[in-house]
Amino acid sequence: MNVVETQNLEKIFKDATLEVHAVDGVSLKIAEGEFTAIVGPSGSGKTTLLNMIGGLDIPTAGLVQVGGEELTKYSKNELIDFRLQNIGFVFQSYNLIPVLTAFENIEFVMLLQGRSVKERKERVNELLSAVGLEGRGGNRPSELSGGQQQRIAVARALASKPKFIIADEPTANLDSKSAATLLDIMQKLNEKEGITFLFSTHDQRVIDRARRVVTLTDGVITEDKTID
Amino acid sequence: MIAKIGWKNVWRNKGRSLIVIMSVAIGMWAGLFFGGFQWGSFVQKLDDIVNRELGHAQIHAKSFVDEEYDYNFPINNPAHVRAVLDADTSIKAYVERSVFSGMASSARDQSLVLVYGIDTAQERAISSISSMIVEGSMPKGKRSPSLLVGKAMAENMNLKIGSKLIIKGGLLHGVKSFVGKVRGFYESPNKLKDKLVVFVHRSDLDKKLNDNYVHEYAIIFNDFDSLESRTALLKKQLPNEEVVTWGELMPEIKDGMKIADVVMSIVMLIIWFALSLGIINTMLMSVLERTNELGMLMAIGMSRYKIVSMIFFETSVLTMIGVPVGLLLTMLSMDYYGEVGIDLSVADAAISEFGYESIIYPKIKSSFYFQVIYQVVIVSLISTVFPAMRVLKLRPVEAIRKS
Repeated sequence: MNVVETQNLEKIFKDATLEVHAVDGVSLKIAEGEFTAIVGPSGSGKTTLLNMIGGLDIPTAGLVQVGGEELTKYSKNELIDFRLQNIGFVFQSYNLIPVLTAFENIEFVMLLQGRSVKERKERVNELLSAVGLEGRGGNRPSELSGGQQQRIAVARALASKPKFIIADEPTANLDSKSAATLLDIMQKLNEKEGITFLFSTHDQRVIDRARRVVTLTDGVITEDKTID
Repeated sequence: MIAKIGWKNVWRNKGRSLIVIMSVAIGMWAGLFFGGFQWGSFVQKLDDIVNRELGHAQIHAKSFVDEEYDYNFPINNPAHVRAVLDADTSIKAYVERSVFSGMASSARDQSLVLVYGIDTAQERAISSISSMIVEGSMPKGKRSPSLLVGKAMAENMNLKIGSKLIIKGGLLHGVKSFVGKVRGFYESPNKLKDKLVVFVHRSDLDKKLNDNYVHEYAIIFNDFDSLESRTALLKKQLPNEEVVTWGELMPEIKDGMKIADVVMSIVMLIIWFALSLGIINTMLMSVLERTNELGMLMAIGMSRYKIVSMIFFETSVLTMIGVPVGLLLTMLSMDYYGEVGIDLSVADAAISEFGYESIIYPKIKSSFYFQVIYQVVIVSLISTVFPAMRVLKLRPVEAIRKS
């Protein structure tokens, strides 16, 4: 079953003199349980494509379906709720809430979903354990390393039990050791729990771990390779 | 959840939060203190002019005031008026006065005068003429009436204790005159009055003018707030006399107070505008600094409504801390200045011309506290609308990029 499906997806950015086709007719299917990397040089349209798949940006043309739901039919406010229930995000610069502890950051999306205290507590502890940060739940982001913050961000993305996780350049700000640890965790979550991951990256360490690599050049898919 | 994050956000930048708290506190203090100053001067003015001089209401013969306090227009039936006033339980006290307007001549100068024939024992219940005496006294006259003269008039006419004054007036039925001796000087907050009014014992005046006239009843009601309704009732009971409130008698004072109210409203608007700018500026800075974070919150599923609620919560917390601080500042300064007063003697001459005391003792009505708290809360919430609108316009995809 496809978690994500795009058809002839386009995004055109315009200013007074220039028209840029950031994404130009991309058709892509991501099946459940995939560990897919979208690769390409800077400006190739990776982030724009992920933003449209994640419901953060509206396509100029084409269709995006997530779990069979067409995103373009939703209003901005409906999209916020759709994202809450269906999509997990991991950002390049972690983007944790600085005033909350690691535990509270992970718990936050479940609070938005209206989950019970018991459920939240169990899930957060489970996720802290999954990302190897048991005992660090009481720390604020500023008390954690970059790698640890990104692991908390992954845990937060998983907390809402989304259909899939979008990670935009997740290792870009991490050193080799932290990147390797993070990728180990994500790979394990993908293999053992079947969580679907969709990355944008030009980090070879991530590309080497991906089981499918989609190459984007000037907004167009130039290669779509599945690695056995 | 909103409260939890909002509370933590408030203390994220303590310096900035303190600026907003102090803006609210100082804005509130300024509003309350200025209001207290205004109300204090109003109460003093009311006390000086109304409680110490005019009374809450007065009764005259019709035409007496229009004829500029003409001696020849006394109250026709004082006994009937007295009976009505004695029967009215809403009246705390009243006095009878006779008024003789004319020209006072000393050995060197002449001046217009309004001679008030008063009963000092009765007047104690209404006015405080004795407390205004700055030199000499007002003993009852023996051979000639004792005069209590305003210090301003004494200076203009170069009068001393013991000086004689010839007072002539009452031209309608032939000139009446008497000679009085200056026994004391008084000084009231109202320089205009000090230049014009001379007090004399009513019995002395009656003896000299031989008319036994009553020109004026000054009344103090038990309850100042019921003044209008009680006066209206007296008007019905005394249709042949003219019953007027202090405001009708001295509309310029009442109008002055209305103008002061308008000035007060303008000053309050300026204070609230300044407070509003402070809050808008600080909250906008706070929102702009967190653009990336707010974008992320939208991206992971926090609705705009919840984010805006969080911003409003943050302002509310700052306001709720600022309000008691402002109240404390106000209470401390009111305690101090309510006791020692605010000395405006630098502008004494100008102030006295308008009949105001040069030392103002600020006072605040308890209802004014609630009014100002209410206004501060409203101003704070309205000021948050602009930063909140910026949040509503945020597009998560752009906001996240601003890291």
